[in-house]
Amino acid sequence: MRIAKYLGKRLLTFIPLLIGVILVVFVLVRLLPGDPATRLAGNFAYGDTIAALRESMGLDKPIWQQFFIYLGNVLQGNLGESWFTNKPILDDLIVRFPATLELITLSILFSIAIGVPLGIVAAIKPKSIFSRISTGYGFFAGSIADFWFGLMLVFVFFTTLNWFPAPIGRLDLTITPPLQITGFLVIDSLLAGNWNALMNSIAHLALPVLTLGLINVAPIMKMTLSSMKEVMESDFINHAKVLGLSDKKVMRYALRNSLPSIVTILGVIYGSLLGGAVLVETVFGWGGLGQYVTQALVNKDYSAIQGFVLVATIFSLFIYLFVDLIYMIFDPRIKF
Amino acid sequence: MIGLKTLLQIQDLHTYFYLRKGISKVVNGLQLSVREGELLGVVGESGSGKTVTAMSVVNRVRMPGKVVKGKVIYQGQDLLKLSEEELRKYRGKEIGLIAANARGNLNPLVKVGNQIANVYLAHNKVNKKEAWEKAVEMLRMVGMNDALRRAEAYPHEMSGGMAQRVMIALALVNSPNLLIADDATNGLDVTVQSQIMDLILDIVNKQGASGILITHDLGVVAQCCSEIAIMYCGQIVEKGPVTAFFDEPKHPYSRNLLNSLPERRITQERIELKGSLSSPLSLPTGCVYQTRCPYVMDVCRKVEPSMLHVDDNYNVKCHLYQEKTENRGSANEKLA
Repeated sequence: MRIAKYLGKRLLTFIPLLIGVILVVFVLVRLLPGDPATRLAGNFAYGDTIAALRESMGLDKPIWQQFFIYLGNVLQGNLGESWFTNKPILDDLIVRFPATLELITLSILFSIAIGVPLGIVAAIKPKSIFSRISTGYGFFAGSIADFWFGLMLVFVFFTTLNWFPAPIGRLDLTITPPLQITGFLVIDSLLAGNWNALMNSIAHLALPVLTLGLINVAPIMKMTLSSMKEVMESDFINHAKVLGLSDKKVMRYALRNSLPSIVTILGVIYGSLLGGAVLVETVFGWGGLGQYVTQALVNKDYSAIQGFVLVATIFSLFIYLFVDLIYMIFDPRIKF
Repeated sequence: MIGLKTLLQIQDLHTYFYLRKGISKVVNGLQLSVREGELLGVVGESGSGKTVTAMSVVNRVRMPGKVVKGKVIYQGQDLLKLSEEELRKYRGKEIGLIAANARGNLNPLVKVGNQIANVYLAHNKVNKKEAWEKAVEMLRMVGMNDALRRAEAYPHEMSGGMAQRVMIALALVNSPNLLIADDATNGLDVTVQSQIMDLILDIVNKQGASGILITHDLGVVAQCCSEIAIMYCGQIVEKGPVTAFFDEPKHPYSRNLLNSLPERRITQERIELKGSLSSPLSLPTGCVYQTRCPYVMDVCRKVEPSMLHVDDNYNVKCHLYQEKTENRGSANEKLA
């Protein structure tokens, strides 16, 4: 019951937050240089054509009026139409959301699977070769650009070795996609029993997941390492050793106490990946949200940009809410 | 009662901390022994190395500290020669340690019952349920009302006194032969202090264990212990039976220490210790007390006094008694 009350309170705070974000993005987008009507009409259009277009796009009204019209629409669940695809923004986003979500979810799972154990080992055996390798790797992954790394992987594993399919989309064109249930191709093709689609989607996922995953191992590993180290030096870990607990048990004590910080960094990374995978999506022709919003920015497609930011904000808010809930499970000192 | 067999013998123990400022010789040639069934009080001011001595016994001095020299012989075995794995059989099993600051030494995320059970599990072949029952039994033994419910509590849900009782339960769950209580009543209010002391004494007596009571409270030692050792600058400067010590302390430092108790003051004038505790970073050659000693002689500045045997079981580390051991009587005249 307490948790329901807490959730209710948290969800209520979303409303002013979202309205604030909508306002800021609405203004910022209009500060971008260039006029969308001119962009849409083309370089050779006449002045009155552009003026007519501006009127039909609603750009001739004062900005505050535009804002309240937009806000009213959003409250009714209408994010507007794209000036370029002529489809409702919401539909566009819904179509592309699963592609990005599948990519970033698998990437972060991959990063966790590698980064957390590496960080633990590095913290427990600070002088081991393992620790040195992971510190070196942290520097390496922290300093290279993800899109460059993606291109390198494409060059090596597609162009040179031809182990993986061409970096175009989520499936080969010859493969029939499975019926959409979750939007995750891997899960959908598994549910449909479509073996071909499953193998093909995994092959397509491999390189982008590797790209994002290997890059994001670095912050996760570093966070695990530093929080584990801090806990390992705490009084209660020392006392656990004084009492003769086994290394395994001591490590479990330490890990348990570092989990909150690790979960926090995971939440931050996961939330930022939704829009942050833009360049990697472009490299692999992924057709997800990142690519969509890049296109929208180039086209000055105001509603599309605003719609994306709104979705990304809601996504992040829910991730943070989820992180806070996990905190409460991990740490009995935190009460609702 | 007190047997003749020595349970623990510390020989020429040196524990240094390697700091950027230099080497801090916190424990510096310490000699001490505890006989079976004996309750020894170790008294010294803050910074004299009491806690580090306790940690050195189980070879768990924290970075950047290290035991560099000496022997800690427990039942004929030099603990400092053992590997971590071998030492674990002694830690928490043969030697129980109660630390000050119970809150900081308890794992904040684990139920106290489980923490006690884990220490029991670490040294006994029992299943989890039996260990849990043992934990509840221990909580009952240390005087917790409603032990069953308390075992389910987390450290932050307990008062300081209760947390200290948990620390005692942790130290005693494996019925150690040697109990080291390091300032176990620090930070508790006076009534709780005496309860905790009574509890420790009661259990030590019941289990027939030996104990080292580390404190800066001479009164506690006078009440509870059979032997007393005075610590100054990482050394034991005087050690003997409590009654003999309080009748006539030998070392100039001990005399000053005792005079500082209002009810023990020999003269009406206020006694001030001149100078301050020598820094462990730059200990003088010769006697460590030379900077404050009113009876300082030339020899004190050059030669470190050895532990002199002045009476049955009574040792003093002071040049004043060099003659006394050779020619009884004259040193006392000097002091008077």
